[in-house]
This record gives sequence, C-alpha cells and structure tokens, in this order.
Amino acid sequence: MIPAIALVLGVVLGLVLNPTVPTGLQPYLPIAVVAALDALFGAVRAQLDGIFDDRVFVVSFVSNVLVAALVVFLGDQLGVGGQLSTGVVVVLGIRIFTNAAAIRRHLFHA
Amino acid sequence: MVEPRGPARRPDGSMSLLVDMSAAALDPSYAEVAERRARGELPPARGRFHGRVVAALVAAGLATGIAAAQVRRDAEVADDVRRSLVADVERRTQATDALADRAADLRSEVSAVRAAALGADAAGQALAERVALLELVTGTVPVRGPGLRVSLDDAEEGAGTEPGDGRVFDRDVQDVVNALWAAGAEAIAINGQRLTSRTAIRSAGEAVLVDLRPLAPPYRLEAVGDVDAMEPAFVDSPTARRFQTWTSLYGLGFDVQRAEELRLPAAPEPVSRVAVPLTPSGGGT
Repeated sequence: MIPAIALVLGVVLGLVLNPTVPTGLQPYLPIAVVAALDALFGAVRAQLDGIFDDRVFVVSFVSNVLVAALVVFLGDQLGVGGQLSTGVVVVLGIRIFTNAAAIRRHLFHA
Repeated sequence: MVEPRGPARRPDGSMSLLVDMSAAALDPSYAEVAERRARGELPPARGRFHGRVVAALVAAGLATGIAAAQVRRDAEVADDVRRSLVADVERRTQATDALADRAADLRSEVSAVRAAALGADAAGQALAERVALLELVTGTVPVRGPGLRVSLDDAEEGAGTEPGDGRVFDRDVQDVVNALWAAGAEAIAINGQRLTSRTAIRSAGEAVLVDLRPLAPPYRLEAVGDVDAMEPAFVDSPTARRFQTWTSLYGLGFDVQRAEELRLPAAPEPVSRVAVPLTPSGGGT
C-alpha cells in the first residue's frame, strides 16, 4: 500500500507542480521514466517471488535510470541519439513485458 | 567430419540476445542477494519498505508526472504556434486583398484622370487610344469578349504504362497556350491568372506554376478572340490533335468549348526596372 501511495503522490506532485525541465535534460526524461518503470516492474516481480531486497531495488533503480540516460546522451554526441533511444525503449519494453507476464502468472496463476 | 570442440553450441545461438533479454528480465541481483541471505552471508531482510524505497518510488512518480506534463505543454505550445501562424496568414491575406482592391481603384482613377487630361485635343485623343490598346495587349486591364474555353486535366491514377503518362506538365500547358496565341487569341487566362508577355509557365515539383503561383488541375484556359476563326484553327492545330490522341490513349482530360462571353482579370502591373522608353525627341519609336 505504502509504495503505491508513494508512486501516486509522485505523479500528482509532478503534474501539479509542473516544473520546467531544463532544455538540455528534456530528451532524457522520458527514457529515465521508462527505465524507472522497468525497475518498478522488476521490484514487484521480486516481491512476489519473495526475494525483494530494498538495497538491490534502489541500486537497480538508480543505475537503470542513469545508464539509460547516459546511453542516450552518448548517442546524441555520436549523432545516433534517436536510434539509441529506440533501442533502449525496445530493450526495456521487452523486460517490462516479461516481468509483467511473470507478475500476471503469480497473481492469477495463469 | 570434424568433431565440434568446446562447449556445445546452443540450438538457439543466433537468438541468444533475445532469449537472454527475457531470461534476465528480473535483475539477477535479487536472486543473488536472496541466496547469500539463505547461506547466512548477509543479515536477514529488515522491514519490507525502507525509506529509500519510498523515496525512489516518489522520484519515479515525479519523473513520470513531469514527463507527462511536459508532453502536454509541448503539444499546447505547438498548437499555439500553429494557431498564431494561421491567424498571421489570414491577416496578411486580408491585407493583400485590401491592397489589391486599392490598386485596382487607383488604376481606374489614373485611367479616368488620364482620359480627362488627354481628351482635350486630337493628338491627346490619339495618344489615349494608343494607351488603351497597349493596356489591352499587355494585359493590365480586365477584358471581356467571346472566346474559347479549353480545359486540361490529369488522367485517373494508374493510366498509361509509365508514371507521368497521364499527367499534365508545364510544357503541355505551354503548348496549348502557344497554340491558342497562334490561333488568334487576343488575351488568355489560366485558372484566373492573366497571361502577359512576361508570364512564365513552369513547374516546381509536381505543381504547374503560372506567374509563380501554383495552380491545381484541372487547368482552365480561357482565350478571348475571334471565335469563328480561332476555333477551327485551334482544333486543327498539331497540339490539339496530339492532346486528342493522349485523351484516347491515357484518359487525359482535354475539352474545348466556345463561350459567348468570357471575362478575364487584369494581370499585375508590369514593372520595368531597367528599360526606359525611347522618347520622340531621343530618336522616336
């Protein structure tokens, strides 16, 4: 319950405060969100598997976001930022789908 | 046969990237830490949701919210820009129309004043007639009279064997215009654009431009002139025959009709930037 409330609180705060993102950071924000989503789904699956560990979650969350942003940043410097963003989204998307499927099997046994 | 050495190849070797991606979908560290806990190398897990987990979750939500708000705001900005551009275009178009109206008013005023000034004596009247004739042939005044209506249109999609077979190009329009002049046309307009001696008919991309304005098919050519002489001359011209062939071959639209009364607009005032007229004292015309 507490994690869900924390997540919703964050979303509402973000929408209400609506801070201006520096132009330089704007391309990386959506990628960071997808990376964070990946870490979140991984955490839910680990929780259901009974092996959740808060330290692992925080480390994977932070490193996921940073690495995803870094890869896109590098791509931008090399002129392939758009393609690399697509690559990152595809890889993270596949992981999110796989984890979501595992979560579904846990919850519905189907 | 050579026996393969080393570890046996996985049957899905070429797909290993995709397989690995789904197999390692869950961060392997979770399993590793759980194993070490079970072996007693790490202390057992504490309370389920530590403060930093909550902080990370709030951060994740915050990023999501900000990103969503950003996307929405960007869309709004783009929309605002588009709306202001549309308003700009409309305002400018209105201003241009108003200026064109004013130009037409001033032109008729100039004509009236000139007629009054020149009407005083015989020499003036001769000059006025000359001016009126020149205005007519240079296309600076609207004209009316009987004439021919020729319409050209692209064929339906997929006509002919090669792309472009059924399309009307700038050179086709040029051909028809030249044939009309040759048949005795005195004034021609295409889709309401009056042709003068300085009007260019050319193409840019797929569009045919007349006087640098893009026109859309069908192309309606209106030619004022002596219909009785013009119609047979034009219909018998090589250009018209060629178009009739193309109509039966490719389905190109080509139609010639007589009109009792055509009204052609004036062309924009021609501007002479370099040339100056020879004055009678300077050598005469």
